[in-house]
Amino acid sequence: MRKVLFSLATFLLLISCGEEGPQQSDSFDRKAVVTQIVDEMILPSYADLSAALTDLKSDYNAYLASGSPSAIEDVKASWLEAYLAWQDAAMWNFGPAEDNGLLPAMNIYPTDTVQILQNIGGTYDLNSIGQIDAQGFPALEYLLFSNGIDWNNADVQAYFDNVLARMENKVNAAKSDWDDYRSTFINSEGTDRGSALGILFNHTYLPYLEVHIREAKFGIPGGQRTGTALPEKVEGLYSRVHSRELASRAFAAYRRAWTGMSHISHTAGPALIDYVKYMDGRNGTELNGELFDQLDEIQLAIDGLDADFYSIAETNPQQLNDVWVKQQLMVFTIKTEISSALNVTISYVDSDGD
Amino acid sequence: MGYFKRYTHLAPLAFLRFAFGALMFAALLRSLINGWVYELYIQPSFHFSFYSFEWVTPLGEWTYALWGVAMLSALLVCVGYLYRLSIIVFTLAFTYIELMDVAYYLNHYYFVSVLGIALCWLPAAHYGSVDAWLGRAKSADEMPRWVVDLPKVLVSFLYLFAGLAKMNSDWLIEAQPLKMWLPSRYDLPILGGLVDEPWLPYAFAWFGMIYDSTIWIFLWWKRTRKFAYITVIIFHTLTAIFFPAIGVFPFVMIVITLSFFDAPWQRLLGKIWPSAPRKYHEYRSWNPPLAKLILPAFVAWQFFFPMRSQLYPDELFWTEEGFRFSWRVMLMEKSGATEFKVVDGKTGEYDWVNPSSYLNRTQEKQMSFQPDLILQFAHFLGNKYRQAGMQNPEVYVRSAVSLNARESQPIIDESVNLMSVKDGWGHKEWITEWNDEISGW
Repeated sequence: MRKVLFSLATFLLLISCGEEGPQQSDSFDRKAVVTQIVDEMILPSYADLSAALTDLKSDYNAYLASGSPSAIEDVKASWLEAYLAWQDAAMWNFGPAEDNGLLPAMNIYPTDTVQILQNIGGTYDLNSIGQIDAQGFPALEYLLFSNGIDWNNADVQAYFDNVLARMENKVNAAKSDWDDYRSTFINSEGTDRGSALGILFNHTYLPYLEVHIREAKFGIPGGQRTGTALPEKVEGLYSRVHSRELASRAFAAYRRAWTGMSHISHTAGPALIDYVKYMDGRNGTELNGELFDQLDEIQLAIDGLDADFYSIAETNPQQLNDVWVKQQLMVFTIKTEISSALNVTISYVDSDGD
Repeated sequence: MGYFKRYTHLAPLAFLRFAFGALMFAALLRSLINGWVYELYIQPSFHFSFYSFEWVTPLGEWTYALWGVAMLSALLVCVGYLYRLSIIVFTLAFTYIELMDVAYYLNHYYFVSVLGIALCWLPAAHYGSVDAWLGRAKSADEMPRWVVDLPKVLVSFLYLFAGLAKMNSDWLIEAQPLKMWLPSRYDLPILGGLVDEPWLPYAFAWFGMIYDSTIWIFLWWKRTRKFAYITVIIFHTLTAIFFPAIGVFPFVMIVITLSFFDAPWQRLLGKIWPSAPRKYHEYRSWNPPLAKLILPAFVAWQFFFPMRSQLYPDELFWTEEGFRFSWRVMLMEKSGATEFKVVDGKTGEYDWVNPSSYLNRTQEKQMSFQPDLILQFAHFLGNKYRQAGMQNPEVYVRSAVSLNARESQPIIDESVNLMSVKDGWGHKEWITEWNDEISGW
């Protein structure tokens, strides 16, 4: 027995020291997945978002110059384009985005209209914590689509300008911070909390679906948690007809994040779902197919809804809750089977195995 | 019973005392520096209790004082000053810390308490200690052999049961959960290139099982001791590299197993703190009646308690009835998800509660696959709603748990009102039946 032990130990030591051979054919290139996410999804989506905000700004300036009713329609159109571009970029809520407070500057809804009107009539500092629900796309939407706004008021024009300027600043800051962050992030290997995969799992793949899509876009307005629908909590409240488009765009981007499809060309590259498939091969599971099915089902369910979530929440909130249930199933899959398969650490604390 | 009349040098026990105190001081300091006192014990609004230890709760800001007491007494144990008092204070303080929240349960914390309790009754400061040096305690060079052997028996139990626990079909035949765990360490220098090798989890699984179930034999046996200790170092270093989350455990084992040696270097402590002159010295006279009564009972309990899981029906890994306190370390991969529904029994109004509103990530992760913790949290929620004015709150849980890469299934029936369920030592009928089987110990 001693010999067995000893030779086993020596064996393990030898193989651990002697590894310098050719790349194993059955290993999986995790770094390629992270690189694909950064270079083909995160960076181009920020670039598009930044460009869309610039377009919005120039359309807005054109409107201020002309004051014509058709010009305000152009502003509305480019507001929507920028909002949709945000849905592509919103899920990467870590690193530069988190450091710059991108999410609170862009899309806190419902927006606080009382605060906005108060700001317009007085002084305000958009950087203060109390102002996070008086800015971003929902605040711009309120100004553009609400009937009660007097666009001849210079304070209204200035407020729109300030909110938009802060959004542009935040996006450009996050975008340029990625220049430095990129290599740090891609080279943070492993699956600890501080690794790229750990960050992606703990900040994007799980919470973006669970909190930002499931709860914010469906559960809260549909009243899933309490049985009381809250129509005024939908995204796109003042434009009314864009809720589904926004939610669909957000989920499509999330789906591409799993399937490794690039932001611009929608062509597939190394994907997290491939890693799941690779682990399927080791574990004898079929998570890859399960994930694909869930992603497809949720996308179909969202696209099958009417465009106006406000009226859905008012008349038939069960439709929103039906989508919530599908997303809920996927959240559970991620928290259980996927979390085990990827073995990503969720906390820094010691644990001696479950 | 000639064994109990044999005597041996006390140095190995004195060394154990020294190493134990130093290690515990370092471990407590580490958790303090990591900010865990605040993050784990002060910040959360809810804590999970050990069954029948519900009265043990964190002390708010005073938890830091508890840490201070434990660290100071660990240092005193290390140098052997006011030994009897300091080891009792240390064991009480550390055990209290351990009992504050079951979500952070670790086998090696439990081992610290077990060893601490034994050391409370053993004459570990009669040699190579400040007490012996100052003449505070009657010093002695030799003690009954069983006194020095007893901690080694406890270490042997730990290994034996850890080894037995690995004798199951998932671990040995499927090489799970190692198949899932190893690939995630692909970033390791040198070793990282190996983690995708299909044979590696099997090598680890079998080596680990053989190591745990037999290493203690080779440590006891003088002829194999050195080789066995080299294996101890290799094994625990590998586990420390591959599973950094197990914290100080590998180092505890590497240092504690040194007490199997009976070597001249252990007598260094006797040189640092030489015993006080003759009148404080006694020869082979340590013979406390109480310790001779309690220690055998304690050892017997340590042997039988880890086997209690055999008394429960259903799969141990699923129900976790008898899972804790039985040296099941790094044995399975379980992950779960829960959503709680609080229903007003009178009006039917309901509220779905996401547990993350009340728990930190570690607590939530641990709760979501341990039925008794789910029950505790359900009761916490129900009582909270009752205090807020709901007369007859009912609490239901929607759960999903995946065990060793299997498809997830609910662990508790969603139709059971958990407010009408009580925890206890009996079999938990309210846990769902598991749809698979694991054979073995």
